[in-house]
Amino acid sequence: MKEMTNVDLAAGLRSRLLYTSIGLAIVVSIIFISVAFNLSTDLGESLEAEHSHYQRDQLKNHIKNLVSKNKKSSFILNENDKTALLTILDEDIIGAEFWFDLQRTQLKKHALYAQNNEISQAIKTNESSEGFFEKEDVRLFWSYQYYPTDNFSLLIVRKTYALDQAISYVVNRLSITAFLTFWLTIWFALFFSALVTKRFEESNDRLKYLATHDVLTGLPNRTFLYQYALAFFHALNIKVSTKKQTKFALYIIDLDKFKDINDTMGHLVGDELLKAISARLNKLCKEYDKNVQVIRYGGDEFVVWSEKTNEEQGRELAEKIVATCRKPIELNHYQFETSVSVGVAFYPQDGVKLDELIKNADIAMYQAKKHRLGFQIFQRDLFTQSEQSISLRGQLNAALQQKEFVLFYQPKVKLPHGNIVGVEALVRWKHPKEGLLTPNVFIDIVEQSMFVHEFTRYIIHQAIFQCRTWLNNNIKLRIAVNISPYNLMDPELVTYIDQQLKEHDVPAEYLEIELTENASMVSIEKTQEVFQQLRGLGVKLSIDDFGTGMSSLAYVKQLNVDYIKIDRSFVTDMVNDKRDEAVIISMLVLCQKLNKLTIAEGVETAEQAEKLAILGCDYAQGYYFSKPLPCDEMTKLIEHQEVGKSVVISQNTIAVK
Amino acid sequence: MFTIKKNLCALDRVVRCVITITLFLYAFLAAEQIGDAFLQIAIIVFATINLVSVLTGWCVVYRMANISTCKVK
Repeated sequence: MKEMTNVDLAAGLRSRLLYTSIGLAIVVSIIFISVAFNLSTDLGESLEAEHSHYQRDQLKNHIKNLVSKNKKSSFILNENDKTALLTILDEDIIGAEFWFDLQRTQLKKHALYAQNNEISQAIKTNESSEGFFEKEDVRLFWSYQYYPTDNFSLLIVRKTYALDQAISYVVNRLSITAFLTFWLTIWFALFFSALVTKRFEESNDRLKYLATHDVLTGLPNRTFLYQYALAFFHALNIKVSTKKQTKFALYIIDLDKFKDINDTMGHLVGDELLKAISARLNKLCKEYDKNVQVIRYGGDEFVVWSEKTNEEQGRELAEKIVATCRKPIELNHYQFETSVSVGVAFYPQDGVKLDELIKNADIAMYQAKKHRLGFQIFQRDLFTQSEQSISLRGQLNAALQQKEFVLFYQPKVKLPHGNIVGVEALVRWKHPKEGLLTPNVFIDIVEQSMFVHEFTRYIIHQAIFQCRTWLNNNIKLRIAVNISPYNLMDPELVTYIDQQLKEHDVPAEYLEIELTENASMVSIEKTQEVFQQLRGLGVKLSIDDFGTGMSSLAYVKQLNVDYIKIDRSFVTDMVNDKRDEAVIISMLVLCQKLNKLTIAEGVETAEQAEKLAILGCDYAQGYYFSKPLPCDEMTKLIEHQEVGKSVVISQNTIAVK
Repeated sequence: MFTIKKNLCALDRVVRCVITITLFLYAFLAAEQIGDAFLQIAIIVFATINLVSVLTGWCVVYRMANISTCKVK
C-alpha cells in the first residue's frame, strides 16, 4: 500500500486550488474586461453620435437661413457663406455635404469615405440613415438626413475617438484591477487551501489514529508496530554508518491466566484488567524512556520496543515490567493478583527482522511462562523445544481439520484377575513430519489455544464413535475420556455429549469423564454443577491424578464421582517405600468409606499389581497390563479375552494374534 | 496563534522589493494615467503590505497557508 503523506496531500490540494482560482480569475477578468470595453465604447460612440446630430441640426438651420435669404430658385453658395458654415463644424467632422433640390453642395469632402457603399446607397435612395465604419484605421461616423418638407438632404461624416479612449481606459484601469484581482485570488487560494488542508489533515490524522491504535486500551496496535518497524529499518538502511551500533530490545508481554479471568469473571472485567495493565505498562515505559513504544499486539499480548537498549538495560526494564504488573489491581472491589510473562529479544543478535524478533521473543516468553520465570531473555541454543511447540501451535487448526488426532486405548483391569473392564482413551497426534506425538508435547498448547473446546468435542466424538463400533461387534467396554478443566466452561459440553450419545445410540454408562481438577482454575461449584448434569445423563465420572497437585479432600467429599484414580507417583515406589504405601492405604480407606471405586495408575510390575490387590484396590492400569494401543490392536486384545475367558494380561508386550 | 517567524527567503524578498518599488512609483508618478483614486489607493495599500513583508521577512498569507520559502533546517 502506497501511503500518501500529509505533505503530499497538502501540496497537491494547494496547487490544484491555486490553478483553479487563477483560471477563474482569468475567466472573470476576461468577461469583465470585454463587458467594460463594450460598455465604454458604446457610451462614447453614442455621445459622439449625439454630438454629430447636434452639429448637423445646427448646420441645417444655418443653411435654411441662407436659403430663405437667397430666395433664388437655385441655390448657389458663395465663399463667405461657406466659410461661415465651416466655422460651425468641429475639426473632427471630415465630411459635410448637402443637397438642395437635388443640387449637391460639398462643404468638406474627405477621401476616407468616398467609396463607402452604405453612404452611396443612402444618397442614391435618399433615405435617412447613419452608421459607423472603419477605413484605414480610422473609425468614422456618418449620418445622412433627408428633410422632405424642404426637399433638403444633409450628410455629415465624423472621425470618432471613443474606441481609442475605451482601449486606453481598459489598459490603464482594468489591467490594474485585474492585477489586483489576481493578487487577491492567490491570497484567497493559499488561505483557503490551508484551511481545507488543515481540516483534511485533522480527519486524516483521526483516521490514521483509529487504524493504528487499539480502541480499548488506546495503545498503538499491531498495524502501528509493522509501520513503525518498517520506518525504523528503512531509516537504518539509509544511515548505514549507524547500523552497526544500533541496538534495541523487543519485549513480548503476555498476561498469565488471562483466559481464566475472562472465563470466570466475564469479558467486561477482562477488558478492564487489560486497560489497567496497559495503562500501567505505558506509564512505566514512558517514565523509563520517552522513546519506548508500548503496543497492544493482540488479546492479552503486548509488545514493547525499546531503542538504544543493551542487554543490561534490557534486563533492567524487563524486571521493572514484571514487578509493576505483579502489583495487585483493584477492579469491581476485587483485588486481582496479576502476573505477566515477558520474553525479550535483542536486535541484531536475536534477529534482524521484526518477524524474527517477535518469534524469538515469543519463544522466550513461553519459556518464562512455562517455568514461571517472570521474564526470559532469548537464548538461541536453549529453545529448540519451544520452537517446536510454537510451530505446533500454528498447525493446531489444520490438524483438527485433517483429523490428525487419533485415540489410543489403555485397558483398565479388574484386580486381582486382570480382566479388562474398560479403557482410557489417550490422544495422540499423528503429525505428518514429527511422527506420533504424545499429549505432554501438545496438550498445553491445546489448552492455551482457542481450540480447546473443539478439541475436546472431537475427542469425545471419536470415543463415542469407537464405543459404537465395539458395541456393534458385541464388545462392551467403557471408554474414559480426559477433559480439561477449561472444558467445564463450555456451556454446550453436556448437551453435546448427550446429543452424541443419542446419535450413536450408545448407553451413557459406556462413557466416563476423567477430570484432573485444579483448584486454581475453576470453582468447585462450577465443577459440581457440570458433574451433576453429566451424572444426570448417566455418564460415569472420575477424578484423575488424585493425590497430586491441587486436589483437596474437599473435592473428593463434594464431588459426586464414581472412581478415584490414584496417581502414578504413589504407585511407582510403593513396593519399596513405606510412605507411599501408607498414602495408598489411607486413600483406599478413604475411598472405601466414601463409597468410591479406586483405580491405580502406572502399574508396571507384578509386585505392584499384587500388592494393590492385597490392599484392596479395585482396578489398575499401566504398562504391566498393556501400553496404550491403537484401536485395531485393542480390538484384537479384547476379542482374545472374550474368546479365552478371563485372560490375565501380563507384561508389556502384546502376544495376542 | 500567528507567531512571527521569518518565512521569506532572500530571493523572495528581493522580488517583493522590486514589486513594491514599482507599485509605489506607478501609484504616485502615473496618477493621471491611472485616473481613478480608488485604484490608486488600492495599489498603495498592496504596496504597503508588501513593504511590511519585505522589511520583516514575514508574510502573513504565507504564515496562514503554512508556506515558507526559507531553507528548511
